[in-house]
This record gives sequence, structure tokens and C-alpha cells, in this order.
Amino acid sequence: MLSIGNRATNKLCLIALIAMLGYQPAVAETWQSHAPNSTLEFAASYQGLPINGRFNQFSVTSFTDQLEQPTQLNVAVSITSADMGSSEFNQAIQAADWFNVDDFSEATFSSQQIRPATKESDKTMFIAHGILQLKGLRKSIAVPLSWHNNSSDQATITGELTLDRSDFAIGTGEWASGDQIGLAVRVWFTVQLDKIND
Amino acid sequence: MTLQNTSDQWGWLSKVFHWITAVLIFIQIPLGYYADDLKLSPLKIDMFVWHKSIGMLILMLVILRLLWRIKTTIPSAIAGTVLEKSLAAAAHYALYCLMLALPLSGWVISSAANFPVKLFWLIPLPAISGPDESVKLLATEVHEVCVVTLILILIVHIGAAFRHHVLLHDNALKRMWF
Repeated sequence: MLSIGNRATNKLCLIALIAMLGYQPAVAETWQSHAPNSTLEFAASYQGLPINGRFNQFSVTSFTDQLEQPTQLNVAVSITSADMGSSEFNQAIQAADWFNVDDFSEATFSSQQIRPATKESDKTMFIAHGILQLKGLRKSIAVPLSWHNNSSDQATITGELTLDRSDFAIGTGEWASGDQIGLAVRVWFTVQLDKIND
Repeated sequence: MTLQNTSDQWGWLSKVFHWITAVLIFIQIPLGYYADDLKLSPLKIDMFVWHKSIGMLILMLVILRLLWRIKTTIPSAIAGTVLEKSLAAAAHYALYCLMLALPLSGWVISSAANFPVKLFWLIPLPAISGPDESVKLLATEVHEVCVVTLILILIVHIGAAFRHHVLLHDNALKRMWF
């Protein structure tokens, strides 16, 4: 005869088993960004007019399961490589009230979960939920992206999102209000991923 | 006072062009040096919006003024030696060139520096150059040489106007006044 406690234990065991099966490491493929064919761009704004910039150095690592679905996305961005098209901007954004590159030279994004963006059979649109670490601050963000296989060992991912610079203390003090330099910053990327053969 | 210029008198439209441009230039030059000296701040950006807005206004006025100058008669030169007349003509020619070159080079600097502009916080000014550091540096050189030249010629221009008025007692200044 089973007690209530035992029943609960059995149930827990079952849940644990299902969970283990669910999270059993799939036959993973590793993908790595190919820098010459990859861009990571952003647009700040002044009075609603865009000021475009780009990060010249960044890398993306991704894993896919046996169904060729992305399961993990890791991004590392060299903040010192930010280029906003003029020496004035490039000098200014390094300062403490903007990116403070002396203390925070790298930003990272690590996905915690990647879900299909639609319920339909479309297997190209995903949303990567994860943590963006920027200027030493961490925040959950969702990165919508499309995954397009160019060949069996090359893919291109593209995506676009909007960040609020005040979430990461970028542009503090007299710049904080967003009256001149807008708070919303559009970020978009096109990354060529090459499958890494073990 | 007539609209049109005559052979010995400026018409009111030419006078309005001259004096509005004069006032704007007297604001524009110190404003430019002041804004350039400021450290990067919202104030600096605002001061440059004024500088760029006034600059584009001057450019527009100078273009209209030149069109009017082509269309209407020009009062004949004030009596003087051939050298004086040549110098006066050359100075006036140089002033027109500088009033075009300064706003145009400033526009290039702003565009090449990748900075978007809304004139008087209202009208977006299109970029006339892509972001380009070397173009920006060249245009900055041109802008600086032009403004120093403009200051020197303005000193001569104003000095000559007072010389005509105070020492020579002719109507050089009077015919440009209301």
C-alpha cells in the first residue's frame, strides 16, 4: 500500500525522468561566426534622426540540436571596436558617462532558452531569451532572429531589436534625459555562421 | 526708397540683404568659436544647432542676394583711384565667395562627422557627404582658413566704410544705410 508521501515521490521521480529525457544533451553541432561576412550595427538618435554605428569586432557561437534547431547562442562584443563614423563620436562614447570602455571593454549575450517565434512549421524564426551584460549591468532581453541555412555547414542569422540605453547606464548625467540623444537604440545584425567540425 | 538699385543708391532689398547678413555674421563668428571651445555636452550640441541654422540661413540669403544682384543694377563705384576701386571690387568679390564657402564647408564638416542636423530644431538638413574622417579634416581646414580670411576682410571692409564716411565725407556708407 502506497502512502501519500510515496505517491508524491513517484510523481517527482517521473517528472525528473521526463525532464532528464527532455534535457538530454542532443547531438550538438557547434557554429562559429565568420567575421568578414558578419555585421553588428546600431543606430542612436539625435532629435529622432539616426546616428549609425557598428561594432567592428564581435563573435557569435551557437549550438544546434539533431533537428538543426538552435539551442544556444553566445555573443561577445568588443565595445572598444565601436565605430560611429567620426573621431568625435568614437572618442566621446569611450568616456565614463557613455560606454566607459576602461572598465567595461566587452559586452556579452548568453541565451538561456531559444524558442520558435511562431507555432507554425516555419523553422527559421526564433526568439533567443537571455541575459545581456553591458557596462557591467545585466538584463534579460529577447532577441528575435531568423536562421537561414546556406548549406549544410554554413548559415546566416539576422535579427533586429531595440534596447533602452538607460537600462545599461549608457549616457548618464547631462545625457540621461533622452531629450537630445534618444533612449531607444536600434540594434541589428547579419552573421554568417560556419559549422565547426570536430 | 525704391526696391530697385539705382546708379548711385542701393535699393531697399539690397540694403535688407546686406544688413541682415551683417548682423547674422556678427553673431555667427563668435558663436562658432564659442561652440568649438566647449567640451562635448548638450550645451555644445545646442550651440552648434544655432551655428548650423544661422549658417544655412546666411547661405540662403547670399544665394538670393546674388540672384538679385544679377537681376538688378549695381550702383557705380565711389570715386577713388584705380587701385582703391580694384581693391574694393576684389574685397566684395572675396566676401561673396567666403559667404558661400563658409556655410558649404561647415555643411560638409557636419555631414562628414556623421552628425544629423535639424535646422532651428525643425528642418532636417540632408547630409552632403558620407561619414569620412579625411573629408571632415579637409573641410575643417577650409572652414578655419575661410573664417580668418573673412575676419581680416571684414576689418578692411568696415574700416573702408568709416574712412569714406568720416575722412572722405562721401556717401559710400550713407547709400547703404536707410
